[in-house]
Amino acid sequence: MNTRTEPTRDDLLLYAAGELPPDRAAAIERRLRKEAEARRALEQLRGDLRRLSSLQVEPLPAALRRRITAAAFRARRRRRWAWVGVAAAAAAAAAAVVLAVLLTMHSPPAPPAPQGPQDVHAPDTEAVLNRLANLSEDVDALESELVTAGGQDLDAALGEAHERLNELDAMVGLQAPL
Amino acid sequence: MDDQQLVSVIGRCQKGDRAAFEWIVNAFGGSIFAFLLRMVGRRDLAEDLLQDVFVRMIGSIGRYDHRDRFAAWLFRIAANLVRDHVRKIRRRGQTFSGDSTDGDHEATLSVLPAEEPAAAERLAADEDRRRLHWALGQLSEEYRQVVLLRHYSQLSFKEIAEILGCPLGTALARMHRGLARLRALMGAPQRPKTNGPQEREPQKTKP
Repeated sequence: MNTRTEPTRDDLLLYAAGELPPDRAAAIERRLRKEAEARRALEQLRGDLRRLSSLQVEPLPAALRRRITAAAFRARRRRRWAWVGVAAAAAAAAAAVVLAVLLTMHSPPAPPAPQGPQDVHAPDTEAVLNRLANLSEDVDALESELVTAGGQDLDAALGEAHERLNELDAMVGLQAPL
Repeated sequence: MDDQQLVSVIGRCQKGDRAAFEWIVNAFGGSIFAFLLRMVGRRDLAEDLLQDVFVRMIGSIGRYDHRDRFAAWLFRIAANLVRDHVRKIRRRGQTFSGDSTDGDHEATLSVLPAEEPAAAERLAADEDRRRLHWALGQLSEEYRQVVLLRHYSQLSFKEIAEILGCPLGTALARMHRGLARLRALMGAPQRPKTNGPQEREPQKTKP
């Protein structure tokens, strides 16, 4: 329970900023009616806040917006590929374990296997990952080139590059969190 | 900006929609950039930090759950990046612009080179604004942070206190002191030799 009865300096600032709850605002207003000093303090605070309003916000230059978008989506893509790599490695490891178990169960107990379980993996996984990584680098390079080149069609070209990458994602059935 | 529109855009951005991301950059980038620029005093550095804000945003927007206002969430990222930047500078033994003492007009700005005259002119269209920029550059980091967060983010003091991880009373006290200091500086004569980056004047050369 708030036991304060006398409005404080903080209350005055919150009142000037329009953030004081109605009950406290009413207390401030009673005090303002009675005290010239409080009125002066409030006017001073309002003047201070008004002065800040001359600090303007300018729209971001188009080149900076493009740079930010390119960097953000590049970072996002890298995170996704990293996630894909982890998932693929986990899948390969799981497949290796299953294969090892199957080989153990169905092979004659003769000579030991030349490879350990960790060396057994689906033959195409690595190739696919490499291809994806190369493609990602190509898109990064293209994007950097487009960003630095300038021109009115940049956004469309960048969008197209990303769409192609997304199509590839869909093609290989990759779904990664952001 | 309509709340429902913002929720919809955030949802699309969470799914990786590029246009939604650009909409967010357009809507919030200007005010965040202004905050960063006035905090660090250098346009190139502020641009890099702004880029980091949005790179972090896209990396974690999937976890944004609308409990905080979106602006508060973004400004928290920006404030954290400024804090990390200041720590890095101090670890290297350099001086940050906010290291000036509150009772002293002498600001030490050794790591903050001047903005280019053209940029300064753009930002300071008139003498009062130029002077205000100068005065802000003289405030200690913690006072300046509260004053600028309040102005550029339009967040409540309660939200600002949450961003800064301090009690509401502390945020209000910093605002009081920051405003009082600004008032005093705006009425005081400027000292060209100790100017901050925002009010850099052409250097006089000996004949």
